[in-house]
Amino acid sequence: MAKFLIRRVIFLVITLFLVSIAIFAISELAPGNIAINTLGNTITPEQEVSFNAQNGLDQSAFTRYIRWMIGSDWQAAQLVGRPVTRIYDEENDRYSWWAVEEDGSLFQNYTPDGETLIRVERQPDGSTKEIIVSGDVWRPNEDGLLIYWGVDQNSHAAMWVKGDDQQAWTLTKAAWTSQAGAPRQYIPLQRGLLRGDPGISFKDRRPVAEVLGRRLLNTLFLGGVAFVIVMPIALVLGLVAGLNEGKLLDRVFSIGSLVATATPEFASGIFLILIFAAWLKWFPGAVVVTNDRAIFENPQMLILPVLTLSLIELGYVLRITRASMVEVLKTNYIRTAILKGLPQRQIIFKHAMRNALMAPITIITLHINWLIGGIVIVEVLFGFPGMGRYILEAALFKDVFAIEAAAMVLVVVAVSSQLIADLIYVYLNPRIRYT
Amino acid sequence: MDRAVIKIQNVGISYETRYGDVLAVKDVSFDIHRGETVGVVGESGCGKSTLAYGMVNYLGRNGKISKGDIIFQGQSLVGRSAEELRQLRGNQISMVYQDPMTSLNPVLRIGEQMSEVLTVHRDIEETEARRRCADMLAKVNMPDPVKVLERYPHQISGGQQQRVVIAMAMLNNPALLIMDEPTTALDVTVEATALDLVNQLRRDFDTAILLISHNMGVIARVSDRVGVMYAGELVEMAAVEEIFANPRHPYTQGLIRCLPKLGRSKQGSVLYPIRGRVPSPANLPPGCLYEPRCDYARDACRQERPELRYLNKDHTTRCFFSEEINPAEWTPPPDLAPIVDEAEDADEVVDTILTATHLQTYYRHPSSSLLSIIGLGKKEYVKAVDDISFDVVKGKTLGVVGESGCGKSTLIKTIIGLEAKTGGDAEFMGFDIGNKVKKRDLNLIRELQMVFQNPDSTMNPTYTVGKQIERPLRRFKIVPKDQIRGEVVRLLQAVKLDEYYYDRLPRQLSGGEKQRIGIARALAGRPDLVLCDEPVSALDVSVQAAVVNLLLEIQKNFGTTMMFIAHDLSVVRFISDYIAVMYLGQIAEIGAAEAIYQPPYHPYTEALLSAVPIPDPTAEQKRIRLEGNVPSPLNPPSGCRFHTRCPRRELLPDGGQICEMEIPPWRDAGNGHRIFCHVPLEELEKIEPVIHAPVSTEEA
Amino acid sequence: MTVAEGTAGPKISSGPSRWDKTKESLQIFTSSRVAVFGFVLVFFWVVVAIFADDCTFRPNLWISCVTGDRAAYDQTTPWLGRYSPLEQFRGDNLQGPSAKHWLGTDRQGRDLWARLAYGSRIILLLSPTSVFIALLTGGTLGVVAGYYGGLIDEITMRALDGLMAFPQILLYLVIIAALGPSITNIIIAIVIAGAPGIARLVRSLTLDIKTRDFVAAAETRGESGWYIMFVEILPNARGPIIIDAMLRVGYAIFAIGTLGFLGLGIPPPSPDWGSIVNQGRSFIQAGHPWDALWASLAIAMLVVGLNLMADGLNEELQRYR
Repeated sequence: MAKFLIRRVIFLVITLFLVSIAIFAISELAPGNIAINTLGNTITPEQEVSFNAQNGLDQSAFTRYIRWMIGSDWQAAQLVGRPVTRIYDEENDRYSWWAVEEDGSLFQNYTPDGETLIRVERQPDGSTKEIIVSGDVWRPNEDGLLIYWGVDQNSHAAMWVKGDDQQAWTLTKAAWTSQAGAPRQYIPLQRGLLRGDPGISFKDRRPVAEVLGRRLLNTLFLGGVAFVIVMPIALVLGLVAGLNEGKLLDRVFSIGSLVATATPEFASGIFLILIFAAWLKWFPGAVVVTNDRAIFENPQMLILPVLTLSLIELGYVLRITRASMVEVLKTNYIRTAILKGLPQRQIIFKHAMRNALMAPITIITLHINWLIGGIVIVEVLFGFPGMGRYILEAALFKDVFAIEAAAMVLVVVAVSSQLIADLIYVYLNPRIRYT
Repeated sequence: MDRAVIKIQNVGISYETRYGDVLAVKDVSFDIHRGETVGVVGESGCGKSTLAYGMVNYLGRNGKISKGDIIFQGQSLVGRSAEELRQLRGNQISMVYQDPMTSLNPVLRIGEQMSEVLTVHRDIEETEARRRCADMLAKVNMPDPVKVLERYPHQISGGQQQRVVIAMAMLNNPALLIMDEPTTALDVTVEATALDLVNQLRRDFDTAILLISHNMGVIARVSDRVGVMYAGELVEMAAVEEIFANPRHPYTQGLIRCLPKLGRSKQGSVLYPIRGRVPSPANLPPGCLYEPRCDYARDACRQERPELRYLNKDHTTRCFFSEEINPAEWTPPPDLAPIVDEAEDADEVVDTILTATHLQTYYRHPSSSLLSIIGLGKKEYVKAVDDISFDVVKGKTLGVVGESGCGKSTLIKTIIGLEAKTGGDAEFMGFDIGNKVKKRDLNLIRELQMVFQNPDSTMNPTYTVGKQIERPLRRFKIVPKDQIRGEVVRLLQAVKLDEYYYDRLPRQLSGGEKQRIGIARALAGRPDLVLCDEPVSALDVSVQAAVVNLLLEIQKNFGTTMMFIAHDLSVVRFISDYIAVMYLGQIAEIGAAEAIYQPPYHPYTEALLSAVPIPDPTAEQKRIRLEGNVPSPLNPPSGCRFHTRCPRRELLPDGGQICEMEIPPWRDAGNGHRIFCHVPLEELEKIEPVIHAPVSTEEA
Repeated sequence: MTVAEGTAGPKISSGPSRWDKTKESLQIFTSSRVAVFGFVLVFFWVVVAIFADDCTFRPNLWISCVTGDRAAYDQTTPWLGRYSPLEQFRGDNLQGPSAKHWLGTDRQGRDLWARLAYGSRIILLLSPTSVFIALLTGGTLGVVAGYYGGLIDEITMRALDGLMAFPQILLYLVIIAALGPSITNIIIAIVIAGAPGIARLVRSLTLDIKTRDFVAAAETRGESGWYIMFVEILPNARGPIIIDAMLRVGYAIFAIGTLGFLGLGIPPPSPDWGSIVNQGRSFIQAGHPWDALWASLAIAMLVVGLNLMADGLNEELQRYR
């Protein structure tokens, strides 16, 4: 049994690895250009080059993937020659990266003209002090250029070249600005997905991880409520339908569940809104979020979203359970149980049910993926502040790092829920437990 | 005093279908007494199993007893309420099923499944029930009964599972035990022990037993009285000796004639198939149901359906002319008589067509170990064929017998190139055939063809018969394109099928017809060697005889060499010139067919022969039963692979220590007869023949 | 034994003709009431799509009609559609159903029935096309992986498992976000999302069929892998594949609708059903539910219809066996 589970964990890790490659490949390598997608197609080639350099998009796919997964700070630390770290300023609510001096003090660098190097030191109170670096810190590289690696003021490790007049383009609120004395090379600093930092959102220039956690919690709450309500009902109704195969009750359940499953969530959601919110006015037709705890304080807002999600789940699980029950009832061991003279109750509860639940349990977990699909739609339809809406907004804005991160988180949720199902399956099936 | 436990009176059972009601069982009557075993025999589709399930009124939603009555211990079973039936089932009447694996619930421990039979029907404490279950398991010779109660069904072997099912059925000491093909899924040596158990139970518990089987040998071994069913009717019933010695219904006679007797061969005996096939319930002949297939049919048979009538007190039959038809006076109609190979050329040149030396085929075992997921695990191999050497003589048949898992199928798959050999050599007419078929020359491929076991999967359901026979003709370019159709028709005729089969789809054919087309397809390339993998084991006996005859005729007409695999020792003996007996991937004994069935035997051959159910209740068969299970071919026993189960080790000093240590020598018994055993030839020769029966006095 | 009647005749065809086979399949289909009902739902929209205007009979306009090219609509005469889907009726915007506008009008005063009728073309063309492409790619992958097994199988299936671990909607979002919304990209997204499932199904069918003796027979004739896969194995897997494809066309409609609903559908002014729901749902609270309601109903009708067809057919096929 332990073997079976460890096997599953290994496969899970492999799957996640493949998924991460796929997500990365589709969103970063697909034809289409992140720079143009993000900044619009009016940018000049120089601006595009500069944007790519600053965001590390000029690097090879392999380097970018590595940085995305395990970060770039360790790489930067090697080049800078000092450890680098990220700190959070509560006062102005922003994150920044610094190189760490031996005594623990933090500093950044910039050069206004490509000759003089300025060192920005962070004071304990959060303010900064600029000093001109004295002495010769420029080091020659293989090409004979004099270079200096440091941390710049925009969360990059950067390489300046002495006497350079490199231009960098940045898009501020007002317009494109060009700035001289810019670094030749950048390494955008991040800790990497595996260390909880999937990068910075193009949309608001803030770490993706910041919002993700809260959104995930909301979504898990919505999905969890739907799951907890639906599963017992669907399993029981499925078993009942299976026991009554071919009878009217079964036909009604079967066709009803088929219609419920086949109707897209946005359609059934709109029907429910029209009926319960617009017509009967029983429940609110949208989720209005005034603060972080709104959805917990005002649970009737959740009724229609949960109902919409439940419909499709209910139908699906019911059908699987029914089919499984019908199949089990046709097996030889049920025939044996009947011909042993067991009472009907004992046949159903002791002999049929456990076998009949095995198939749905494995399939339900694959269905978590569908549940997630439903969640995206429901969140968008009802304006629920969860992962689904986040990812859609990211997609509409082409916020690549945000999409990647959100997609990975959702896949991890989906895949690890399958592991839980594996545990239940092992418990139900002695053939795996005892081999 | 009426000793009948159950009386079946004119019972008819019908199923509702889309096309109206279909009578699966019509008008069956017989009694079963205490301590008596009644065997019911017949080919598939004759309503045997329906009758068995009808007796416990378990016929599904669309089946019902439409006629007659079943009186169990003085009370009618028909029209009882579900609750009354429930109280009888498992208590007074219990059943044993064909497939023990699927008959046990995979997720419940054996103890739970057994004890509930007691707790439901009686007021018994769980612990007491457990104790009784263990006792009953001990009574069915289950090793370590208390532990078995804690196991799940998948943790014990097939033979043990069937013991559990039998023990479960006997727990409440039922008055009637119904066994539906109880040994069909078992290997012959396991079957023998299961049948011993049936006999023992009847003696110990005085139970009335109804045993359903398609196998005349099984019926002969355990029954007191035998009923023969045909197309839903009981056509004959009598004491077992009477049925076999003096059958009075043409169908019973036909069944007996189409069985090869153990020890008889194609030289000197003939199998007579029954023509035609069992009529479908929707399309019955107006008169006697057997009339279209009967050699004695007269006008009367065509007009009126005969009733079951008494010939004497103990013998009933459903034939107008039972008194007149004497099996001894029967002469085969010309279309049934196969060509008997009379002239046995003694001075024939013995030409070897295929030689295997130390052939090995191992399979990678899909290991479940963790390391193997990443490809670092210890590689385990199933030693399916391990060090096998033999020759196949041109124009002759080499039979290969052995129980399931002995490697016989792998052996021919290696020869035909579906598997790659692991070691040793195989040569066909001087060409190396150790590689897979894809690497062989097209001409070599053509020379080796195969006939498959399962008639339902031997043909591609998508294409017509003609298309499928054409394919090898086109591929091997046997005839010019414009003659292909003619050649197909010629091949169809060679397997006794008409041209109109050309456009038929496989689902329109019977099992025997599909098998014939499989043979025609194999012959299309005009091969020199045809490998037959159990080609008749899935067929009913009457059809089996026809296909065996067809193979013999083809061999005679085309001079084809054959390798013939089967688990049925009688069929193999009948068709083969030479036989190899396999056990756990190795040949235990090989030689001319007649030599194998006579001493000196390899101890395994001896055990096999003594296990074969012989369709003759008067045959005296030595009783040798093998202990334990077949060891895993992943890790076969050291020395002689048979030493873990060998009953003849006592013939050796210190109980056969040597068998565990050393690989046995080949004992040469002359004429190419070789035995792979530590026991010296002189000792083996002293062993009595397994079968003392009228069979040994051959008429040839 | 058997005696041949009419021996030398070159063509005695007592085998089933093509027509017999078709009739038999039709019978299986019509014996399921569920399947017939599903068919009616789907057929309704097929008729509407074909006869929305006369462009069906003017092949040179096909592509521009489906993609929603204004110039093309100007050249055609609406039939069942009644109006052009882009025609704006001044002053008639946000109307409820009436004799003039059967289903009402949208914010720009466009006739909703006309928009649905023309929109059905997009969905009925896109979904089968993308499923067909997915079937070709997934089917080939599945049969190859299943037949050859071993390392090929392991690698293909691991990769496809990776894709299947994705919630499909994520895949759509990621792909459309990376490539931008357009007809081609929607097809690409559906193919990438659908092919792994098809590959799995075909692989499992292949694994089953390849154990049959007729495959071994073909191997003993030394047939090539391609012959065995595509001539011996695949034709016998057609039943489950067809039923699966039917369901998948349903899923594809589901997906196209969803993308439209999320604002990632075919860009306006194309009468894409999902986009109609998306634009219409903001007027629900304002008391004009018609856009969202009709378009949702239409999508639900098609998907439910296809599911009913597949389900009924599957049940009937199993009974038939």
